[in-house]
Amino acid sequence: MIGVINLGNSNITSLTNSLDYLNIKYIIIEEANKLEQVDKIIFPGVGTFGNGIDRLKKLSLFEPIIKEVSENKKPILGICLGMQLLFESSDESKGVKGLSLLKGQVINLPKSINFSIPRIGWAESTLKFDFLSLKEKDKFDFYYIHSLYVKPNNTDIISIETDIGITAAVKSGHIYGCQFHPEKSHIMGLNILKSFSEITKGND
Amino acid sequence: MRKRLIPCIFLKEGMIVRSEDFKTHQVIGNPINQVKRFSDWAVDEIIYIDMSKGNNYDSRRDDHQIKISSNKFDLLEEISKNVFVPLSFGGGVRTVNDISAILQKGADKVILNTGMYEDRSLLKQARNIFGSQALVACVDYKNDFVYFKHGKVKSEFTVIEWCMVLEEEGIGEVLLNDISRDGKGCGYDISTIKKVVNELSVPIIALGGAGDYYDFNECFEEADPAAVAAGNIFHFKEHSYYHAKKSLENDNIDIRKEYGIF
Repeated sequence: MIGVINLGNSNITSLTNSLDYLNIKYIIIEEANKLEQVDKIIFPGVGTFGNGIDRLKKLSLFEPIIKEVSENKKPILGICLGMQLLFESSDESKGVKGLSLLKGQVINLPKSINFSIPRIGWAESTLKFDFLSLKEKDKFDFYYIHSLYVKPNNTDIISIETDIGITAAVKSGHIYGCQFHPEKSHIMGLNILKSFSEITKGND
Repeated sequence: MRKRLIPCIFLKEGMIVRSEDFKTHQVIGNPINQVKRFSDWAVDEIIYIDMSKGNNYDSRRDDHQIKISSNKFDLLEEISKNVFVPLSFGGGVRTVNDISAILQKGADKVILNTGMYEDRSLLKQARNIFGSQALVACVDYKNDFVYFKHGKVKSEFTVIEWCMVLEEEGIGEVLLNDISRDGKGCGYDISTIKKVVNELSVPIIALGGAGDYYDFNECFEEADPAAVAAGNIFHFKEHSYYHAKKSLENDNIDIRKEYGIF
């Protein structure tokens, strides 16, 4: 069973609509004891880094997520802000400590002639190594909507890059994150969710 | 970033309508089927504007022969179940509670218009709660002045003035709608779009006036917005989205080349 973290301030309906369409079973997680019942976690989110961490703490999920992922090795897929919250800190909310499951910072997108900020829309994304359903073919279009991006300390965990070297997805063992929205990236995106639902603990 | 091509759906009392001069409305179909079709075609995004007065539909009409939802939010909930591309919803949004309800029903972005004019604190409040990325402003204009209340009330703002205010207050995108071109098929208002694209740093979506596929090419080539949107052309022409994309591809506009299923 997959648990979908609901921060409460963000729209998880797009994601749950996708999971329903794919016949993937899930429960909504708004409290720590439910987290123990699931074997995998999807962590969506929009809004600011500070607000996201604040919500996690109010729901008493901050420590339990760290425990389930780092000690119990439950696979997690962070989406957009959900991915950013896996890291240590963010330019968006200085002084707020993230989940720190991955080492690195979330920084503001640089000014570029390639995009406006917020960076909204479909962008070509280059696969550096296999990411869930994505294999072999090296370029895909995904839907993005963001103003910041993650800079992992260990660049070897960057699985997909987009545009001017912006981190689009990371994979470190059983920890997955994507900056783009798989639930809004049509078939390519839905395949990613399906593939995540099919991985088993210890087989990632 | 790829240039986006966005079909718009205008609804009234639960049915898709054709709009002209921002007033004539002809019922042309059931939104659930049409939105599903758009999603199957792998369109870049869908804009959906409900022009009904109030949130509950007038149920006196029973000649549609199909089940329609009783209010805006229920219909949105039905529609969003089959959409796996970004969906923006607008029409009658007045409060942060409206925005919250729309996001919970499965929209990804909320389109604000008159609500921001009537309550000048709405945008700032909404930005703080939901973030800029969830907020799109629809700017209806005619002869360089912004109109509210579905084109009925002329404001004191020029297009640029109002757009600057919106950007300052944290809007995520601007849907720029020349209401004098609504339903006319005479091409986009290139000069205004170009001016706004140059002045603002947020993405601009151009709407109003698309009559044939070449209008999309021209708008991208001359004015360079992040996206172009259109309504009628996608309802009345067979496989119109596919043909429009191919036309852009042939002119080397940097679009997403995904054609879905037909």
